[in-house]
Amino acid sequence: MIKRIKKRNLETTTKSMEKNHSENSGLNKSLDDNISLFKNIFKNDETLIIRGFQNKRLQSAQCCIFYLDGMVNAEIINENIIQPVLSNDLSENIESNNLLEELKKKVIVSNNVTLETEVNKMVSSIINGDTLFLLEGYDKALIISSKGGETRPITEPTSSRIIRGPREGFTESIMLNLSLVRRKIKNPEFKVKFKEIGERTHTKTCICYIEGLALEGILNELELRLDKIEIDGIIDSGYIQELIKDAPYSPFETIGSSERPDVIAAKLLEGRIALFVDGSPFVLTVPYLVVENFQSNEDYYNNYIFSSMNRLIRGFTAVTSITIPAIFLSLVTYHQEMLPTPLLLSISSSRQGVPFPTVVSLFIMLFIFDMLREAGTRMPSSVGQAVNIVGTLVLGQAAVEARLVSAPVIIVTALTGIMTLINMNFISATIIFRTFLLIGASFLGIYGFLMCIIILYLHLMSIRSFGVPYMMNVTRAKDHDGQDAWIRAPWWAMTLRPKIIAANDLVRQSSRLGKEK
Amino acid sequence: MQKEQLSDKEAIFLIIVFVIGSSLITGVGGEADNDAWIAVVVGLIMVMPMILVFSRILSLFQGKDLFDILTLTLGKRISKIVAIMYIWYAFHLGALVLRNFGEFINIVAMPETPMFVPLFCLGLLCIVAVRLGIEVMGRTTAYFLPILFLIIVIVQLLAIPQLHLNYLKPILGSGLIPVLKGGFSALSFPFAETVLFIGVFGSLKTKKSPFKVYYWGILISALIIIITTIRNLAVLGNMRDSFYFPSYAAVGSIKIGNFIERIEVSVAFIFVFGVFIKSSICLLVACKGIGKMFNLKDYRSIVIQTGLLMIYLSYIIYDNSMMMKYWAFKVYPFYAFPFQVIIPITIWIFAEYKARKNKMNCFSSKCP
Repeated sequence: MIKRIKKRNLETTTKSMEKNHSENSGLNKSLDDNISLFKNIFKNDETLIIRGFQNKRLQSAQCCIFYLDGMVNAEIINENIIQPVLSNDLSENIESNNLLEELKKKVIVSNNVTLETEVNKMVSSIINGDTLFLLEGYDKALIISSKGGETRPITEPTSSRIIRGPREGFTESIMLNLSLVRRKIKNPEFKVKFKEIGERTHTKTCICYIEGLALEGILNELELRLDKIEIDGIIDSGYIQELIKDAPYSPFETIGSSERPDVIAAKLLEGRIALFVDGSPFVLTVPYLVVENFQSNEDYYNNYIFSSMNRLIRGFTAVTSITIPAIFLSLVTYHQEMLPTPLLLSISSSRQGVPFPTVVSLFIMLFIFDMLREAGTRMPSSVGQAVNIVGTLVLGQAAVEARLVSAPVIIVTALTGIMTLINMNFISATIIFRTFLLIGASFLGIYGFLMCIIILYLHLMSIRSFGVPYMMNVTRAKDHDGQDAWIRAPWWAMTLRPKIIAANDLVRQSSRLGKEK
Repeated sequence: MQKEQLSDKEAIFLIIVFVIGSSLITGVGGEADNDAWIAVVVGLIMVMPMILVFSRILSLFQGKDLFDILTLTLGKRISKIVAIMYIWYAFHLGALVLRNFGEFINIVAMPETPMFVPLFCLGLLCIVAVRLGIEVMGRTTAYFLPILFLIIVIVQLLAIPQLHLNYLKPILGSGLIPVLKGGFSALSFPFAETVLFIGVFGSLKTKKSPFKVYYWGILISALIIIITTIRNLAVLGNMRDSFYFPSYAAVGSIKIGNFIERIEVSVAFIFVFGVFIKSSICLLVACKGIGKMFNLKDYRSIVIQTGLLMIYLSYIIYDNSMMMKYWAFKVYPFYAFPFQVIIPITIWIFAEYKARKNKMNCFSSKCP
């Protein structure tokens, strides 16, 4: 019902928009009429600048330009449009009768000028930061590219730091982002397809892939899903990420995002497809597998033994950050016989006088840790010290001394917290499944814990990302599948690309492959 | 929805987990006393011809599952009756396995927890798994089986100091008859229970594979069972009859230094996972059968109902553990014999006949 109402509303708004435009479709030959037409369209928008001028010699060449203040590069307009039109000796240079065409060909200095007749397109190009050029006596207009406006400079992304590797990061401008990737893949097979999403925002998005590597099926599926999106606005790529996700209710991400051009370039070279969204420094990649959560771009630039070790740590901590509290709980409350006696004694002595059962104190402490984490990410940096002191002293030491919680619980919480922060990609899934496992363990001890683990893995195994099993390569060590999963094999050994994703062209290093045989 | 596919490896793993699942809890071939491991070998030899029959049926009707095959071979009316029998068998076996687990939890792990709680939790797990489908179960098993192997091997190694191999002597002390009896019971539980996989392997990929899958699956799982049986015998000796769950007790006696002791909970993982896979397969076959009976498009719509009924059946099926043991060793082999041996052989004969006739008629394997 709601959907239907929404649809109707949408239809009426689009209709009214069309109506608005269709009333004044087509330009007049009179310049004054045209000016008032555009004034009418941008009625309450005071950033629209209308500048009329005429040529020195040729009095009949009365022209007028429209642009939005702040969206354009004023230098381009001054030097490449107004200056030449004003000072050029038009009466001598112009031969044919079509003055507008002559201006386009000979006078206006710009890399991109198009002749336009439709008002709709003129309006949208003004909004995009181009300049509209009207001439007295013509019902056509020139659209001159003059996009400008400030963008953020290329800086190192703060979401993930690296020690070795390229330091540039994406910005909010889609064209700049594209150029960053293109500078790394200098190949005509690098394809770029644009698409506008968002009924009101008309956000530019673009699909990038390398022809011959990316699978047609995945590409078509991505386009299909993008076509299905009907939303009024896209502000960040996160919108699209959630709208086209494979398993909508799952806390696991099946679409990757990165802020680094080198990461995106490497994924494109593996046969993946990238999706750039204007206004967002995070570029999406599909298909996205679970192992990619543990891959860092630095792995590929450092020594492979060191990288493999780091990757194993990441994988290990991802598992333990979910399981440690539940294992601790089931050992302490149900299976005390599993613990060595001295450890059991010290745990139970530290629990003396603590009012809450272990499960309650674990829940409380984990919740407090998440609160601290949230406070740490959002707070202004000047108050960081206060949070630190409160977190360490008040909640840690003082809570134990006051016998609100036992010391082992604090240790487990701290351990879990650190391990959660190692895998920030996983954080939502970690928190949800950690709680889930904790509940299971509090009901049935290690048995409940195991059942919840099985459910977790059933869920993981059932997810697919654009047709590719999410857990692919985790279980296989055969051939070339496992060499970029739990470990990072040395570059000279990675002669093949990932099997299912780059099925079109598997060979990455043909010369080495030949030697091996 | 595309057809679910199972690779050979996943199928072998499923069989292994299915076979070792509940048999590791209750022990196999109890009639043969300290020759139980020989009984397992005898059971393995006995099951070999049955494997041939099962895989032959599967390769004659590739891509079809048990209930399709029944309709194709036995005709409409008789096949319905046989299908109902198999649905009951799967349903009942699933409930028995669940109950095994419930007894296990109730006796050794949590005596104060009502048995319904573990039954219900594991039953829900099975429902989730069956709804996700055989492919997901296969992949999950492929992920977990290496861990299971690791646990089994480590526990086996740790148990070496406790082994008293003289407990195994005298070999064949009380003659051949108990060993054959034990072998017969090992045939019915767990080996020939794999008859249910005919209902699942419609999703297998290649035509040649059913025999390979059955062969390797049964062989590896029999090896595991033989090794653990020997371990249990050699660790527990004459005391083994006083335990309901000999594996658990045997592992519980492992003690190395002052640090590694009482590690039986680590074995719980094998139990939980094995029981889970076994009862899920049973539930899956039962649901598929019911779905076929009533011409449903997808069996998934009846999984929850069937699963809940299975949980309830498992709750009311026995009064106590003694009854379970009596049923498992005394009654079950004869109860299961028709399902595991007689009906499959009948189907096989009819199937061969049908296949010959089809070949004569139209020379094409596509003919129904």
